[in-house]
Parts: sequence; C-alpha cells; structure tokens
Amino acid sequence: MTEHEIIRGCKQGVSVYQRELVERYSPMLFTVARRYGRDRHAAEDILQDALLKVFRAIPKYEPTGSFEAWMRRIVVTTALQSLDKGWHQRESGNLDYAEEPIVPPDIFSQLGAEELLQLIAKLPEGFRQIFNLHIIEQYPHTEIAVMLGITESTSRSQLTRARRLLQSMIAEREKIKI
Amino acid sequence: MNEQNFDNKLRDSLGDYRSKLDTGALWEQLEPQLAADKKRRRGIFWWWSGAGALLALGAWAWFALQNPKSVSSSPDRTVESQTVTQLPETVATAQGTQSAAHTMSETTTPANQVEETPETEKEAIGAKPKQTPVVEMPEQLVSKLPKSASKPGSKRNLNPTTPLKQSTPPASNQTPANLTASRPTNPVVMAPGLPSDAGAVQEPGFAQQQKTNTIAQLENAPISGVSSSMVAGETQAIAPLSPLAWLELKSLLTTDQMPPVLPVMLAKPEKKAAKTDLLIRPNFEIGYTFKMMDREYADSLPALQARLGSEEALEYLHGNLLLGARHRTGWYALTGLGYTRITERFSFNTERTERDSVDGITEIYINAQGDSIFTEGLVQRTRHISYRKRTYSSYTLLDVPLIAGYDWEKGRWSYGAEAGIFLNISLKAKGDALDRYSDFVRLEDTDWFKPRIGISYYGSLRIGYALDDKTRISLGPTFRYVPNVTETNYTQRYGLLGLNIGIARRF
Repeated sequence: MTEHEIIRGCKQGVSVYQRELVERYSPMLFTVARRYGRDRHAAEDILQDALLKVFRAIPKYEPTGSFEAWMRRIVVTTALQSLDKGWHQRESGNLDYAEEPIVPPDIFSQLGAEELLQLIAKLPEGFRQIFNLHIIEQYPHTEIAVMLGITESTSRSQLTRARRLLQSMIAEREKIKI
Repeated sequence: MNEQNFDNKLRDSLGDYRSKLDTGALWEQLEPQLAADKKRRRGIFWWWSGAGALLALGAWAWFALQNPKSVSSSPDRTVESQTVTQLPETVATAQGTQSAAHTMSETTTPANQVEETPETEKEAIGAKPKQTPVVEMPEQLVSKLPKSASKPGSKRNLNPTTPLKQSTPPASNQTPANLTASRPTNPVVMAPGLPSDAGAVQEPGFAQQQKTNTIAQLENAPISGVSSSMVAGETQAIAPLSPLAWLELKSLLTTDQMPPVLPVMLAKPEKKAAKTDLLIRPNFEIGYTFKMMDREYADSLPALQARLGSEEALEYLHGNLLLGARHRTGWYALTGLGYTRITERFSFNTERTERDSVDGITEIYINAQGDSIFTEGLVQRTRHISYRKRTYSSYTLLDVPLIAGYDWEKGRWSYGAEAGIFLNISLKAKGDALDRYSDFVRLEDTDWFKPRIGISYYGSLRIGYALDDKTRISLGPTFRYVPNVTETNYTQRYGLLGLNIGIARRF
C-alpha cells in the first residue's frame, strides 16, 4: 500500500487505510509526542488527539509537501496546545548557575535515542518545548516566540539554558556510569 | 563539543527514531471515535436536509395560503378578470340602450362585446343590480378634460364616424338580461344639456364630450339604477375614457375638485383579506445561565471538580431575526438566524512547592590570605509557586430557530405562547479552563466543543401590545435548554432563563 493510496483511502474514510496509516506512521509520531509530553502517558494522549486531527483534516490535505512533515506538525501543534504556557514565566530566572558542562564528542554513540528521550523528558516543560521546537523541528526563534506567546529573547535564553541543562544531565549520567 | 555539533548529533539521533508502540491498542482506541465522526457527518447532512425541506415546505405553505385559488378556477374571478380585460373596449351604453334610437346614431358599440360578455357575468349582475351614483361634474373640469380623452379613430374611444352596428334590441324590448348584457364596464364622461357646438373643448376627437357634463361611474350599474335624468333624453353622447385619458384626468383633478364618486373610482379594488400575514420579528433577550456539568467516566472526577470549582456561569445575551407567517386564527411559525453569547468567569488560585537537587555551592572557605575557596555539590532547591488567575470566558452559538406559536388578540393586547427548537450551526468557545492535569488551557486551542450541528429546546410565554394595526411589541419570559456541548469526558449543559422582547411587523 503506497502513501498515495493511504491518503486517498483516508480521505474517503475507509477504515482499512486509516488503520494502515496508524500502523505505519504512529511510531514515528509517537517519538515526536514523547519529546513534548511529560511522560509516556501524556505522549499517548497527545498522539491520540493528533491522529484524530489528522483524520479530520486529511480531506483538506493537498500533497504539496511531505505527508510525514504535515503529520509531525499536527502532533507538535497538538502537544503545544495541551501544555501549560505559564511555565515560561515561572521557570525564567532559574538555573543561572549552570556553566557549560563538558560533553565528550562520542557521547551520542554511547547514548541511545531512548535514553536521550528520557533525558529530554526530564527537562522542565517550557525548556523542553523550546528545545524541541528549535533543535529538532528547527523552527526559528521568531516563530517559536509567536507559537508560545513569549518574546524572542526569552526563547533564546531558555534554549541556552535548556541545552546546558541537558548537557549537564548527559555528563552526570556518564559520571554515574563510570 | 560546541553547540552546533551537539544540536546536529542530537537531531540525527532522534530524527528518524521510532518509539515502540502498541499500534493495535492505539487503533482500538481510535476506531470508535472515527466511527462516531463518520456518523456525526451523516447526521449533519440529514439535519441540513431536514432544515432545508422544512424551510421549503414553509415557503410553499405561505405562498399557497397567500394565493388560495388560481384565477381560472374561480367563476367569480372569471367575471372580474373578463371585466377588466374588456374595460377599455366596452362602450358605455347603459342609458344608450334605453334611448337607443338617438344614442346609437352617435356611439359605436362593438357588437362582439355584447356577445363576449360572459354568461356568468350576466347572471351575476342581473341577479343583484347595484345603483351607481351619478355626479354632476363642474364645467371647468370638463374644460380640462384631456385631448386624449377621445381621439378620432381610436380603437378604444368613441368614433362618431364609425357606422353603428345594431347589436342591441330597441329599448322597449329590453329585458333585464339583455340590458345587463350591454352594461358598460368603464368610467364614462357624459355632458347632457349642452349644445353640440358649445363645448369648452374644441378638439375634434372630443366633440362628444362637449355634449356631456356628467361623470358617471357605470361600472356595475344596471339599467334599473340609471338616473332618470339620464333617461330623460338629455344625454346625447356617451364617451368612454381610455386608461391613458383617465390617468391624465386624475392628474388634473385636485382632491377637493374631485367629485365624490372619484375616490371610489380611483380606489383600488379592495383585496380579499389574506388568511396569512408575513411576519418579521427581531428579538433581544438577556438572562441568567445555569450550567450543569457531569462526568462520563469515574476517573475524571477530580478534573471535573477542578472545573466546577473554577468556572462560574454568568449572564447570557441573545438576539435573533425571525421571519415567518401568521394565520389569522392566531397560529404562527417563525424561523431565522440567532446569536447567543454565554459569559462565564474562570478563577483559579493555586500554590505548590517543588523540591529538587541541583548543582551549587555547598561550602565557602576563606583562608588566612583572604582567598575564597568554593566547594560545589548538590544543593536542595525549593520553589514555591503561587498562581492566581481570573478571566472571563465566552461561548458563542449561532442558531437557526424553528418556532411555532399561538397568540390570542384582545383589543390592543395579545397573550400567547411559543415553543420550538434551535438548530445550532456553530459553537465557539474562548477563555480559560483546567484540563485533565489541572493545567491551564485556552478553550480556543482545544477541540472540546462540537463544531457540528446540535439542538436546543426553546419555550416562551408572551404578552403583546399593538402599536398600530401592523406592528406589535411583545415580551415575555423564555427558557432554553442547551444539551451537551462538549466532546470531552464531561457533559456540559446549559439552561438559559431570560426575558425576551421583540417587535413584530406584519405585511
């Protein structure tokens, strides 16, 4: 079953194609949801809501770009809608102590994606959102500022802090291993 | 590792990673909701079809009530219709038939007009003769008669040169039926008693009007009703007015110059009172909102309690424009477009304490030389978070009301009741609420509320007062029940109790 056939079947509301879409794409979309959710349970809720939105919006989908990217964007939007925007204000001003920790260059070969996801999930919620949006989805700070209702400078400073915090968590994990 | 490398490595590691997930279980959760979506879409289709059919039926019923019978199917109407069409061509010969000997020599009556007069008309007129007043017309008005009143050669007017067709028997032999057969059906100007060369109007085509100075409305006038002065032999000519001439005459006459008969002649034939009136009624309503929330699943109780504790329903405003029909028995049906806005207050206070361990300075040692030596380690960090929020939320509904009602009119006052349903075609929510994690969420960012069609139930008692014979102001208490509006694990219903005021105008 090709991607084109799945899209066409889902537009017609045929459940066989809908199921195929879920089975083929939901593991990838679940990774996106996990990066934003505070835990696995929250990520499952995000994914479920996002898939419903995908099925409701797919009749209007026009294949001008990547279908996967379109679905990822829906997951990200759903995740942001389900999260608390007040965290940005509450979390600013903390973690000023953090200096740039030393992260060994080969750290990512030792750390699996699953472990990285677990570490990202430990980031405070506001940091996690900005970190994901900028580092993984590669949204510019101007767009992140609009999406989250914060200033561009807040986005930049929180990204720096989030990055340092994640690096320190990685370094800490390595220390524990040693 | 610099920032760029760190970011790239991280992106590469997570970019294509696929988490383990039980897709079968996920599908089992999704499938019922997708099936419900499909069913809902079908429901929307049927709702719209039903509403469309109802409107079409209402429109058809209204038009049918306005025009109860077609013209051709009614004998009475046939008479009226033929009379109207023959109006310009029928020559006034009512009195002419009485004195046919001298009238016929000067007037032309197309013979076929007598033959064309429908039998139904003859019978109707013969059975119930009516008298038409004859009014003397001032001479100065006669002098103002338009030139077009009678043009030579005009098909619609008298032509003295046209040979007379003997279409009616002599007056002495007239029977009522025969007389009514030649009854003229249009306004006629007559001027008895004037010499033929003494008319104020010298136009050749108006020669006959010089002999007349009486305006008689002969329509519906049987011979038995003709004035004796007319029969006395003074009348020498009868000139019908063409429609154009009649309009010109009307424009020349001022109201006080107009003979008493003219308003009757000029007045439009009175329509039969319509059984059904078109009704337009704008309404405004304000009242108090009762909000009812419940949960569908046991595990959503804490979240429900959080919402119940943070949301308080306030007032609502409603306005609509209704259009419909009212039968003279007092029953009416209305539909239109309505807008409702429900206001709520969201207030939430919370305080919490978070504790965790972070790297920090655990000890500062100052040696004898005065240097500070820092010892770093894990320190406990405690955060007290206090949050207070108070905002106003709104729910806006766009509705198509379908209302039926009855009112009993007594003098200027009326008393009635009405009930119906409102088809909700749009629902928008704006404001704040708590989600299932007791976190703040913007309502407009959620998909909690149904964007689809829904139904609410409406009832009202009304008391009205007529401002004039067409306009009536009415007010009364209303109640509206709005069933569940959410798609969450809660049910969220509203009761709207208010006061409605409307102004109805009939057409």
